[in-house]
Amino acid sequence: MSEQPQVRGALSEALSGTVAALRLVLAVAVLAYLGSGFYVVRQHERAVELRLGRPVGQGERRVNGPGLHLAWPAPIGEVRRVDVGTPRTVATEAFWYALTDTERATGKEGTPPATLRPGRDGYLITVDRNLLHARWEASYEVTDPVRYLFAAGDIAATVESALAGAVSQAAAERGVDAALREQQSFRERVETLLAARLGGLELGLRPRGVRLLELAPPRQVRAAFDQAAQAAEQRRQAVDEAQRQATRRRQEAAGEAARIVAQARAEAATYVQRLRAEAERFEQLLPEYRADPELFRRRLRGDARRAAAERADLIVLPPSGELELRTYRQPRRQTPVEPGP
Amino acid sequence: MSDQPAPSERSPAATALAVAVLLAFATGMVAFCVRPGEAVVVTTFGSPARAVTEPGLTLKLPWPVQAVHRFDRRLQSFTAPIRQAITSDKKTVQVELYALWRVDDPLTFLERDGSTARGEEWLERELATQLGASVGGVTLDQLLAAPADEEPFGGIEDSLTRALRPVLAGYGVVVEQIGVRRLALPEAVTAAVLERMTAERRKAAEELLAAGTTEAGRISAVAEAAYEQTVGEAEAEALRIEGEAEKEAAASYRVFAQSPELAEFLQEVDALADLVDDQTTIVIEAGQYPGLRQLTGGAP
Repeated sequence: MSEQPQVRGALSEALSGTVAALRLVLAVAVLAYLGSGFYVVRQHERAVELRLGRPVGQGERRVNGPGLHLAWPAPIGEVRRVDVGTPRTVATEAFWYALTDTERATGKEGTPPATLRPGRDGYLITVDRNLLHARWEASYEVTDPVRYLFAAGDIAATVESALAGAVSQAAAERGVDAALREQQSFRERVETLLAARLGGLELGLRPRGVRLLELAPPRQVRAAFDQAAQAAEQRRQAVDEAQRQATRRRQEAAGEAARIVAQARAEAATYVQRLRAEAERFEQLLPEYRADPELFRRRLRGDARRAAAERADLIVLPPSGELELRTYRQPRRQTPVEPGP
Repeated sequence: MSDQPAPSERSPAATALAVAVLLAFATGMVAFCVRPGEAVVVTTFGSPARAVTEPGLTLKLPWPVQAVHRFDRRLQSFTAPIRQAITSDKKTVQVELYALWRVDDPLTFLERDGSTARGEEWLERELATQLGASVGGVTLDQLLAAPADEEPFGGIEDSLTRALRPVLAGYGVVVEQIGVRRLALPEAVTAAVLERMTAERRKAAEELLAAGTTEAGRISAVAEAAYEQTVGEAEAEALRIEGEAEKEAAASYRVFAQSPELAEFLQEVDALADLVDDQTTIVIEAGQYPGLRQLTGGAP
């Protein structure tokens, strides 16, 4: 009987220890629950706090910026975060052709089928009823976190659909050559149409722009397009070459004209000066000539012959005999020929 | 037994916790939260009583008297399967549409046993029904061409939206936008289109090459004409300069007129000087000049 109080005391002691431990666990749990209301918003994030389902605050104060914030713990409070620093992108494959499993696995495209299968092979139809494959990407940024969080079920799918519609519409406004050549204009038009399609939906976002990732004629006609592109390049080269030659010909004309005029001026000046000199000499010689014309003639003729004999090579032939002369197209200095026997 | 703690001796914290749990449970029975983008319909014994669309806490009678049904009121995006339609000029075309829609009337939506999946079923069915009528009102040219100043795709986006709005309003759904995602041609037609595109490109290649040759020839011809003109003008200028020189020379010629014989004689002498230079070889017979006989050994 004396053992009963001892057992009871031990049980009581163990129970007290368990209760104390439970109290401690409970206190920690309560503190953790109350502390769960603290939350941190990072630099590129914004947060919207809901209290019993209703956004807390009015106007711009409904959005919490970076820093430490305190909200009611769940289920009274709820914090929804949205990344506003990183632009989001959505790409559409609606206008690209389907690859086979083998093509996808090997990364090499085989011979394309003769047709394009509706629903599988996507493409654009241009106003001149040509077909083009294209890959597009749109980017947007969050401007109103509250609307962005609660306006649409799947924002990316909504933007992708609007992008596909804008691309189809822009393609239908232009011909295939304009689409391929004026891609900047094509891209700007898609941007405008995408903004119009998203404009009235109040999704809390702003389109930042679109990118044309790829634009190509169907594989079935690519060789013919390449041939035409090559012909266009050859045409450009032929025209460039002709223009270069034309420029050179104009420069030659200018040079030739300048040469002709300069030569004419020089010859005219020489002619006039020579005549003036001859006239002066004439006037100087005229009195002497009038004094004795015959003597004057003989003297000047003799002077001229001597001067000629000094300049030229002289070949004197014997009174009899033969002389063989060979002439060359290019004048050469002749050596005196030995007289024949 | 006397060692056990009496109820009055329990910890105040434990009591407060128990009260809080009970209160939360009781609140859960008689209140519910509505979040933004959400609609809740309260039914009383299964009958729709009211719809709540404003975010916040709302009271209701406890289950099983009243129950809540939640719906997503956010904008939904739906892409309909590509469908074939015939234009007013009897051409076949494939059209893929997208629809942006949302629950507008939660009570009606509930009465129609609505859900997101059911909403898409309704949309698909109604789009299929209306597509034929809309496309049938435009020609293929109107559908495929979308001039910037006109309604795109012959206006079928607007006509479909107008046609579907009243129909889908009966389901508690509002259509915000219906658009053409893409247009396509029947598969058999694409083969012909691809053949035509190939032929057009080859023809264009030939035309480009011919145009290059023609244009290059034209440029060369223009340049050659410009050359001839420039040189011709220079030659005319040269003639004019020559004429001016002749005018200036006239005064000198008047000097020569004093004795034409002397002038002629001087010209002959000058001509001899001009004719003979250091490249000239004169061949003469010794007999013509007595002074040269010594060179030939005194032979006559």
